[in-house]
Order: sequence, then structure tokens, then C-alpha cells
Amino acid sequence: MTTIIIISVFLIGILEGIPLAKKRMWKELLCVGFLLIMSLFFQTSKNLGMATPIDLIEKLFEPIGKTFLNKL
Amino acid sequence: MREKEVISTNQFIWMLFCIITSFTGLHVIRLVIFQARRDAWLSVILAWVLDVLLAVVYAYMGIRFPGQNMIQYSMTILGKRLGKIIGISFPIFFLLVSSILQRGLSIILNTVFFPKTPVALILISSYLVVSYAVLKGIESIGRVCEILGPFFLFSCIVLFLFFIPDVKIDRLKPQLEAGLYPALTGTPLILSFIGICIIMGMYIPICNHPENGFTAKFTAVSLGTFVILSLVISTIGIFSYPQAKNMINVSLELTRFVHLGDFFERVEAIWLMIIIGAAITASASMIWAFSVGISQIVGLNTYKPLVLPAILVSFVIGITSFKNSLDLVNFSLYSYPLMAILVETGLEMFLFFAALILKKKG
Repeated sequence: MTTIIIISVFLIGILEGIPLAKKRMWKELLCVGFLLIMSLFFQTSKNLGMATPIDLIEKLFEPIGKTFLNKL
Repeated sequence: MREKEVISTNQFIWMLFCIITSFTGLHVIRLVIFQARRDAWLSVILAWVLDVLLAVVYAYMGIRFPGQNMIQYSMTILGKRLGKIIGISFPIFFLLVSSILQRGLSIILNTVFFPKTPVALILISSYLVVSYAVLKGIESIGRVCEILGPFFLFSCIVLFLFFIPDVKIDRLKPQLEAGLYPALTGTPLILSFIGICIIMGMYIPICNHPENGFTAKFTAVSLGTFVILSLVISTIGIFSYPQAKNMINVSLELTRFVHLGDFFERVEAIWLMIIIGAAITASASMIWAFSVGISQIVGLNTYKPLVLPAILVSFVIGITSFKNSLDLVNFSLYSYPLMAILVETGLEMFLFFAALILKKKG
């Protein structure tokens, strides 16, 4: 899966990055780069056993939810 | 140059309808029955009332800040810095919803239809279609929903007509057996899912008649609630509460029940085709809203370059977050409703009161 993500990052980087660089749209290029790095970061953090955004949301809200709702 | 996209009121209605029914139909029916028991129908009705009230607020804000969506009027009301911090919650929320929706869909497809196909492959194929839809623009998504939405509604009505002979109303009794608590706690649960139509705040500025925002949302939510209500009543009336609360996918089980003699059976494949279509358009709308929102926060000229990276982020969140369907159910029941209520209701009410107190207008 990590390989697929890395290849996707590379492909999207080329697909979106080159036209943006040609048009000198640096803000857009930076934004694209940031999102691609974020996706790599999430995948890598999963591989390293770190928490994903959903895990963090669960840690925050699940105890409150379990207080009010029926247990599964 | 920022894209000038325009949708009609009709497209507005059907996009919201597809979003509400696909998201709720895939995830929530079983959860609301599990929580509210035989009074799940009451939770649905109460959630409809609250959602209509919420629609009033969103529609009012859409008129008070003409041509601006929630992200833009966050910045107008609270200033650039604080407005961006508050405003970015909306696109991030839409991205998470897209991940949850697609992951839920892939789990159902993998469990029921394609047990030997990797979930990742199902997700990739869904997202390829979603990316194509978003790159074509919200107008294309609106046009697809204009065709798919009525078809979806019609199929729900036909299915409900098939279920009616087998529904035993006695299975919905006794009402309020455990008091009001189950129905009252079921209401925010289902409201958090149908409340995803706060995306109306993104549609109002691009609608050719923004003053129709409330009417469009009211129509979409009413139609969606009718579908959900008919599914809830059918499920409990046919399967009874003890069985219904443990079903993995209620709408699928209901469609398996449909038959006309020996020659009209196994319609679940048709049902699933329709719901996949609705789920993909819903996901496409979420990714579009995320891309537009982020481009406005950062101050970009166009949102199109962000679409593919957004799809990739959504895919990664979806694939890394839930190991199996139980994880997803756990998240949908205990974590998602609170997060959603905070964003859908909490943030918007905060912006509403801030606009009134600070006397800000568009």
C-alpha cells in the first residue's frame, strides 16, 4: 500500500506540479505539495504505529459518546 | 481566474438528497435502531425538525452574506486569522465524511459482493470515478444528481410498496417502552448524518437563485427523511427490533426480502448500483467542497489542482483508519456524531451569533 501511495504522490506531483510550475502558480504548487506530503505522512504514521486523524478523533469523542449511547 | 460555477435549484435539491440518503442509508439505519429501539422512527422525525431549524440558520447566513460560503463568511465575520482557523474546520470535515462514506461503501461491497477483491482496489476504483466527477466540476455533479436523484427516490418508493404487505406495525410497539431517553439520544445520532447537508452553505453562493436555499434544503431533507423513515419502519416491522439492531446493512437485507413470485428476486444488485451512484456523487461533492474551501482559505485562484491531492488524502485516511466494519461502526456510533454536531451546529451557531453581535454583513 505504501508503494501505491508513493507512486500516486509521484504521478500526481508530475501531473499537477508541472503545469503549475509552467504557469508560475507557486501558491497552488505549494498547496498541492503540502497535501501530497500529508498523505505520505498519514500512510507512514500508520506504518510506524502512530495515531491517524481518525484515531485522534476517536480518543477525543468516544468516551463521551459511550457515556450517552448504548454499548455495542 | 476563479471558476464561475452555477447550479440550478433543482440540482441543489437532488445533490443534497443524494448526499443525505446515500450517507444515511449506508451507515445509520441500524445504528439508530440500535440506539433508539422501536422509537427510531420518532428519532428520525425529531431529527428532521431540528435539521429544518438548522437549515433556517444556514439559509439566513447565505442571504446575509450574499455570494459567500461558510468559509468566506467565517473570514468576513471573525477577521482573516481567526476566520481561517474556524473556516478550515468545514473543508476538513467534508474530507473526513468523504473518507468515511467511501470506506463504508468499500466494506459493504467487499463483504457482500466481492469477498476476494481487496478493499483497497474497490476504494481505488471508487476514487478514480470521484476524481473524474470533481475535475469535471460541480455543474456536472449536479446534472448527474438531477437524473440519479429522482431515480433513487422512485426506487425507494417502489421498494417501500413491496415491503408494505410484510410490515407488521405491532412490531413497532410498545412505544416509549424505555421512556424518552432512547428516542432523544437517537435524534442527535441521526441528525449528525442527515446534517451533512450543511454543504448547502457551499451550494448557496453558486446557486442561480440563492434565495431558494432554504426551500431546496427543506425539500431535500424532507424527501431524504421520508426515505429513511420508510426504511426504519420497514426494518423494524419486517425483522423486528432484536434482529434489526444486529444487521450489518439494513437496506441491503431489505432489498433481499423483495420478491414477486419466483421471477422477480435478487434486486439487491440494482439497489446497490443506485446507492453506489449516490455515494459516489456524495463523495464527489465532499471533495469538491474541500478543494474549494482550502483554495479560499489559502487564497488560490483555482481549486482544480487540489482535487487529485485531496482524493489521495481522503483515500489514505479511509484505508488507514478502519481495520474492519466493526471499527467503522464503532466510530460511526460513538465518535462521528459528536464531531459532526460540533461542526454542523456548533460552529455555524457560533458564526451566526458572532455575525449578529458584531453586526457583520456581506
